[in-house]
Amino acid sequence: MTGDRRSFLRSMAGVGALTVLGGEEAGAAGSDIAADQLGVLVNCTVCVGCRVCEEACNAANEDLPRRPAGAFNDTSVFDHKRRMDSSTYTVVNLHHDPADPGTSTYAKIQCMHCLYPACVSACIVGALSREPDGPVVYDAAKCIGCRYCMAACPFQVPAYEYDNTLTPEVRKCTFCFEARLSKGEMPACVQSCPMQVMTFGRRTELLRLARKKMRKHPDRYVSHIYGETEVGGTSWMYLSGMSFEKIGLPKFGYHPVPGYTEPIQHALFKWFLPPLALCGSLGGVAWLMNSRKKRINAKSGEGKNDERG
Amino acid sequence: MRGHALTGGFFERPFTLGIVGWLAGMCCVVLGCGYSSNAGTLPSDGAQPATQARFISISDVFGALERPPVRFDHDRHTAALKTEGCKSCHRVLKSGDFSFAYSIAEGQNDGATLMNAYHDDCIGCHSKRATEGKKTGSVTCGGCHVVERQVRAHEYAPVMPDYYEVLRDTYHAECMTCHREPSKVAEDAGALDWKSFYLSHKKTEAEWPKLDFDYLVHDKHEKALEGKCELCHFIDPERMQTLREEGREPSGRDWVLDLDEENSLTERSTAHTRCINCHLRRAARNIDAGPIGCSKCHGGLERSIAELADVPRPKCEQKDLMLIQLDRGARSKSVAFNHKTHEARSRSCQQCHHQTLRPCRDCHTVEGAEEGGWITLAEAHHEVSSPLSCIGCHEIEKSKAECAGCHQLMPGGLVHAGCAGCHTGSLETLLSPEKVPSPEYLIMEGVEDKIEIKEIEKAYGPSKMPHLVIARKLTEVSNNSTLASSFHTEAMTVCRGCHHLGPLVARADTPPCVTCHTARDEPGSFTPTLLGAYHQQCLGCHRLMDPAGQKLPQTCTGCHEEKKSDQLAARLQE
Repeated sequence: MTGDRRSFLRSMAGVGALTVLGGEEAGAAGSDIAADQLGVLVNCTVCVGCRVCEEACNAANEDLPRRPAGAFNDTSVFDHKRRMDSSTYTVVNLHHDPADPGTSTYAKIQCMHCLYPACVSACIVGALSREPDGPVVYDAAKCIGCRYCMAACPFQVPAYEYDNTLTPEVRKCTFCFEARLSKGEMPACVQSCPMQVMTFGRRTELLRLARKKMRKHPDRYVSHIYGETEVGGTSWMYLSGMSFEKIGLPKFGYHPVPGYTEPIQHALFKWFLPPLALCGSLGGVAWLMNSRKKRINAKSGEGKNDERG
Repeated sequence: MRGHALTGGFFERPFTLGIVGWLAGMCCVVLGCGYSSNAGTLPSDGAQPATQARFISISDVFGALERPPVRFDHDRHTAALKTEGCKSCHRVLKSGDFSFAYSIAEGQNDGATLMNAYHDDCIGCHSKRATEGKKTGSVTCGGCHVVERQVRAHEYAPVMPDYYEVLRDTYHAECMTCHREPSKVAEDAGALDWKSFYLSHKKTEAEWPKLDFDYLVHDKHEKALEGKCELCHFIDPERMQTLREEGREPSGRDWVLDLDEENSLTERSTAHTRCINCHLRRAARNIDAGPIGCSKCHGGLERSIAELADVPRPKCEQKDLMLIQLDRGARSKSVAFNHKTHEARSRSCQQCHHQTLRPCRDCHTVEGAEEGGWITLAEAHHEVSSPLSCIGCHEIEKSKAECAGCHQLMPGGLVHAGCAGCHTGSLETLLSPEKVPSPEYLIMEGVEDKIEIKEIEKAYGPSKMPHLVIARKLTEVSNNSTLASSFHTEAMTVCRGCHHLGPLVARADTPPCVTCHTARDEPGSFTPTLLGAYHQQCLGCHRLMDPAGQKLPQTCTGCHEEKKSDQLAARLQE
């Protein structure tokens, strides 16, 4: 019953996105969400912080700068929190629980590949786009370097090559879309992880798997799947034993970020009427002012004539 | 007469008033000795209790004073209120004893509120008596707040009770362990500035941890009090009535630690009054007495179960082995319960029986009752989240390092298949707990002691797993634990820690991991591949059983030999 209702709502949303040109549908962002989205479930409770995923990511993405051998065996990086930059698409951080000094959790972060990506919505040239089954990909050829995507992303994922003077690009995890997914392989980090922290699959099945894990070991997990509903849902989802805020995943509502901005932007240009109305009214005011000026000029001309006379 | 309730009220004040109030309380004990506990009128034999005037404002509650402190002359008040009696100022406890704290000052630690309370009460009484034409005190500010002279410390030192010597010696002994300058401290106890002393020694409740009344402390009391339970424990009056009507002597089970506020030994004020006064009285009579100073009881000492192993457990007519009967119509069999081993694995009776020390089903009824906090009998035994329930406590035990390794992959809590583990219906299972046999008898011939894992060898060399060493260690862990021995009933139970699903038969072929955990990813399957299964199983277990990472390998090279070739390229080839 719920399935029927959901699929009905989904189809209605799709129809809505197509028909309503103004795009009042919250965060439709021009993309209809397919039922069999790809996703990855990250089970933070299993991660041991070996950094093999970082190493594999670097190897799989040849546009990233090469690292010296053994660079990824260095565990001193866990002393401070890291974020993705223009040379890394993913990083593993070690999070200690301030409330419970004995416990700590490793958590890998990368682009969450949102179902309603704010970066795609913010990009004014369409350099960022969302593939129908999930990956949010970047086309450097279209990018003008405005970095609106960086400001728009709720997870602060996209990074910029500030040190590249002539051909700087925005950098973020590609979901290994071109390099591996398109060849029927799973992302490099997922493939390489010795602990199999990550599970790659259809998003709906991953959610089912996550619930199954939580049912089996309720003591081990926070009873929430991060990414299931956050900012409208993300392709990468997390399970954790420590609260998500403590592992660097902020608390968000279930409204997609573009849902807040797009109705305003689109309403401003609906049927091109508001711009026409604005120009029309400005023209009207100008015409009125002009005719009044003429009238005053004409009157004052007569008055002067009277005085002289 | 249960303990000395006379000084009770003083301990209900915030601890900031502690020592001042405490010594003042002692002075009241002297006073109180002359009173009959129920009369509430002053003694008529002319023996006026000797008290010294006391300054009300000496306390850090008020902070900086705007007016001179009020010098409260207790003698003049007792003389004036002779007919009205003590109850005009002091609260009468349920027991009929007086609480010799000034009733409005009890439990107040806000200066402004306390000041208003004093003003309302004092001035109210004074003016009321004035209208009635009785002898009364002042109603103006300057009448009470009199500038007499510089207040000297010894003026508010109270008169000491008869066991003052004991008290002083105890405090001196305790203080000197830190101060090391006996001449300065012991010079003149009366001249101690209690306020500055108290402020410098003020501690929060967390710094004075609760006394852990474990089996050893109980045993000491039992021996010292010659087994007179009634000196501490107490019988519910209704229960006593029933016993009398039935013509029975109270049995061990009838003694309880009363839950009512005035008598419960878990209430701070009552506990202090009853314990310290008893200790003081014994010390004054030169009988072996308990501590009087703070730190001996509240030193945060928490004895381990091993330390308490040789202490005899209290005799409360409990059975060593018992069948926990279920109600008629229940589908499960009754639970065989070894009370004796549980006594040995606990630190006090209260750990399971709360303060009431009653059998579970008295309060946790089948339907749930108010006195059991609406927790039903089933919940009380099965609630996973509670450390007091059977399952909850066993879960805590299973999460300990030596058990957690094997139990990591097993679902915790209440599992349907596990019912029969406890609900056996007969005591026989308790009488003969079997140990798990040695792995040499279980492992099939031809299985090597060290198994080489090389199926998924890529960047790292094969891992040599010491199969027999692991099996021996796990068998040893299981056989050394009473809990594990009771529940690991099958011969091959220990093997299930790793071989978690397959049918297990001694000396027979065991399905290899690869049966379910395929070497390559199966589309549509979320079962970990061989790579994930090995790493999650081995590394997960190592991390749980050795969190410090000292003994069991927890890095790549701890199990594998690193290959020199380009490891990453090799790993990503497939």
